[in-house]
Amino acid sequence: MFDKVLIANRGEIALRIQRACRAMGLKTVVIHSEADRDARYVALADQALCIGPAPASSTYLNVAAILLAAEVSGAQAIHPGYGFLSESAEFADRVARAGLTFIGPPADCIRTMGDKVAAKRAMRMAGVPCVPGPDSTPPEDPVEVRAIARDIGYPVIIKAAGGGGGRGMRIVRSEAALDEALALTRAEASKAFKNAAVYIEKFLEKPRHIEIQVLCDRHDNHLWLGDRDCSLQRRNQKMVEEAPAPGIDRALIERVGASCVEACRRIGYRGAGTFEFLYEDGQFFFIEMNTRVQVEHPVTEMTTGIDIVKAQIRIAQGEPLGIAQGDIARVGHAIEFRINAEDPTTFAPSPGTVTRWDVPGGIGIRIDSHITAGATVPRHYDSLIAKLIAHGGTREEALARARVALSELCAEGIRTNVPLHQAILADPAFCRGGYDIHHLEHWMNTKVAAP
Amino acid sequence: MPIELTDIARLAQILERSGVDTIEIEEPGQSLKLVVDTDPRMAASPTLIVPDADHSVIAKADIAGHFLAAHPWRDQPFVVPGQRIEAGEIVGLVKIGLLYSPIVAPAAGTVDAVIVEPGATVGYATPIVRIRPIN
Repeated sequence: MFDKVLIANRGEIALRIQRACRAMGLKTVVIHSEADRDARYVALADQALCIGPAPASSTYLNVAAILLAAEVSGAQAIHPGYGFLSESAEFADRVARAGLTFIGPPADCIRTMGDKVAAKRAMRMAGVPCVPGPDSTPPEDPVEVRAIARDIGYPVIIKAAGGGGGRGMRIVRSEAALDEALALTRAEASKAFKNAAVYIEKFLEKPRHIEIQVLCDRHDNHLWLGDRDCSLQRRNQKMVEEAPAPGIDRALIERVGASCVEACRRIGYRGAGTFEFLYEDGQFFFIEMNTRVQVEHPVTEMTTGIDIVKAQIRIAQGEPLGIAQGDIARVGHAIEFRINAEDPTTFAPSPGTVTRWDVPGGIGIRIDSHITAGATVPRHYDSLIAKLIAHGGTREEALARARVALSELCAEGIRTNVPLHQAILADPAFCRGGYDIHHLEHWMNTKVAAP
Repeated sequence: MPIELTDIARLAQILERSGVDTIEIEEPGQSLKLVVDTDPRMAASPTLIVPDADHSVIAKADIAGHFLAAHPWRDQPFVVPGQRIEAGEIVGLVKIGLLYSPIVAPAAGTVDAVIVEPGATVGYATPIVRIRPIN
């Protein structure tokens, strides 16, 4: 059993993990780069170790430096957060070989789910609905590949087995374009992911992005905590997420959630995880599993009352979850807005010093942010500076609270996307809910076209 | 057993391959120190050699660990105030478990002060020794 946790991440999630540890009476060690030296969460940690200069490759992605920092600090467990090394099976392995506890799933689960072809095969065997297309890499013979694509029906999408998060894929609308697209995606995949394997699936034209949160302990408890709708995206990056997904048959979601739990049981999953699906015409299609805590986990925390980061730590300590599927309440509606340090129209990053930082509050409002007045937003990392989460009895109430909260949020010294979120909250299609993953980009294009 | 030249060549190769820049071997009656000049860390880290406002230069740690002013087998510290040192000379060690990483003087000069208490935890770029450079 560990009592000192090294947080191998930065920004809001480093603070989120630190808060969970402190509330559990665990000591915290924060590793950080020179660029994050003056962050408030660094000062709040029991111990802070600067492990390198600003670039992530020297610090938050530097496995050796992180393991040496664990040795120096005497931390017995490492929480990887999201991004950086959180889905590296090799990191999970090396943490374990160093005699430390990795707060996350076993390395072989990360490896299986990191290979999208293997993941799809595992999901299909557990009865999780998948996108039409074979769960194997296409044969070398182009004639056979053409037959497979014809079977699926155009348009199809070619994806890199080692990809994910919207990277390494190409849409093919006719047979004429198939050979070239296949060769290109293979070449890109081998460069970007060091794995040339690709697979072919049906391309869905207007899907929604719906996901299922799971939690599994070492005592055969496998739970799903409900669904999230993350369809508001720009260039495959989520901007707004909510729970539950509006307008979807609850009985159908119950069946999908149960199949996710069954998949977890079969692969021996442990920890927190998320099954991502595309949803179109009343059907769910599995796309990938994220074997870590997600940026949008707070909306599920707000509707279920379950502290997901605390649960991750308890699972890593070998504790039972202590709740049954039937005990999981889902109360009201929660929605999260990602506040980025960026220009609200051009999306250019806006790093710099935050000279003023007034945060909203009140009933149903939660702010997860590492920013304080005087804090620096370094240019070296992603631009997420805060998450504003609004909870209400209904979706309408959550949106109303979000509008008030966004109007109270005041950031000076840097630009933020708050004005964009306010415009989104005035869009009737957004307020109705149930839009597809292309809605935001279409809506922004129309907005630019209309004077 | 005497250290042969072929052993030294082999050791140097191992250091280069594994990205380790310095090794010290001490046996009764002989000692060997090998420094391989392949370390990208010094080149990539201008923050480690920036002079201070008062024109002194600072030897900084380039890894997190516990500061040692003296070699673990010796009582005498590597440097004391007033001492003349050359660029590249070891002014202290950072201990990480069983590993020792040297802290080197970025420039030749006179030791002004050892800023950190022995045993203290230091991080990347923590100032360790203040040096008054020659000229």
